[in-house]
Amino acid sequence: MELRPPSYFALAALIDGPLHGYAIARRARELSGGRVRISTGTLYALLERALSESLVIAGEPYVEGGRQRRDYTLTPAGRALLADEAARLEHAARAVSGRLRATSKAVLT
Amino acid sequence: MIRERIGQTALRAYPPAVRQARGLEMLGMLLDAGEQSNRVFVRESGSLVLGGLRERRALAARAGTRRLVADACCQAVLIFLMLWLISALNTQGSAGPSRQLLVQEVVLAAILACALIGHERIAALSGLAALIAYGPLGPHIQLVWLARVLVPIACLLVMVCAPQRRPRNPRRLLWLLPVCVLAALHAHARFSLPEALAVMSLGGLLRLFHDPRLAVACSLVWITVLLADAGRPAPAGLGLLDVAAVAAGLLLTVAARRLWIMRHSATA
Repeated sequence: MELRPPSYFALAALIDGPLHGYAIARRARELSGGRVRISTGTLYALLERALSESLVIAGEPYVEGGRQRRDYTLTPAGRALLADEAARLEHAARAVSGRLRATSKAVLT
Repeated sequence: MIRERIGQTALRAYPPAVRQARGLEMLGMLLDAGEQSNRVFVRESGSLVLGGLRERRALAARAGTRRLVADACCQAVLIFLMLWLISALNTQGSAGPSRQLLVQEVVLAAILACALIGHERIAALSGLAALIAYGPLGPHIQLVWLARVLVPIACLLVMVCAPQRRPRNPRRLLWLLPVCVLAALHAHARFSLPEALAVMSLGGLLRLFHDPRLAVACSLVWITVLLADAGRPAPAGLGLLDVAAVAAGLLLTVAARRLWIMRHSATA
């Protein structure tokens, strides 16, 4: 299964441990170098999908700073999917970079 | 405080079940994200509304085409009942007090209230009984009269067999208020029933992105207007018949297209 960038970075945000919604969005933005901005509506839609596919599990709600929060944790299935996707992207990047290097050498000579 | 209220309003775009499960959490995230600036808060609120509409569309798509069409028939019954009640109240106003009309109004209001709360099967059976008792389904029935009740009867039968799957909620009785307001306006000739139906159809078109049911329901009512008007002599200009035909055709076409898209996006 291929992951879109928002799902990929939202799941990747959970690699280091459980986070609540806003922290996931912030971490995803950091990890993507500011390229992926996940809005509230998008984040909860993809969390809902990830929960239904058992890629993450939701903790009990709690109140922090007067706001209700809930931490989400990456499951082994989510971790495995993320590893597959990272390998796929790495392979794709390597293949294209290799070809670009080879052709740029050919162009220069 | 104002932001919290705006957030709660934006959250109303989500289906009640999602709102109950994650509403407070989403509101918390919206307020957190909105602390950066007003612009971010507005953008996040907009994303929440869009997310809610997408969630509703996904919910409707998961229900399947048959369920959506059955729901549309049930919603058409509600519209028929509202229009009949307005019409009966107006007749009472123009023709003077009549015991028979009063009984009909009470029966119609009771059936409508029953359907609004969620006792749809009981309401549909009572509606069919009322059509037989007060409607044109007597021994001297004419084809024109039959045309007028054909679609309502079909919709009532669908409502008996497949009522909408929604929790019972007495708060839906508040819908009786606009019916009373419309009846009062109608009595003072401020609008006609097709105009009220046109407004509902506009609502159906606006909801089409995430839910084609109201559009299908309105087109069923327009078809009844079309059938009812077909027996009358045609006016010189653009008549109700033409308007009904265009409205029914347009609504059915766009609603069918939307249903098709939703069906295919659900199976993709």
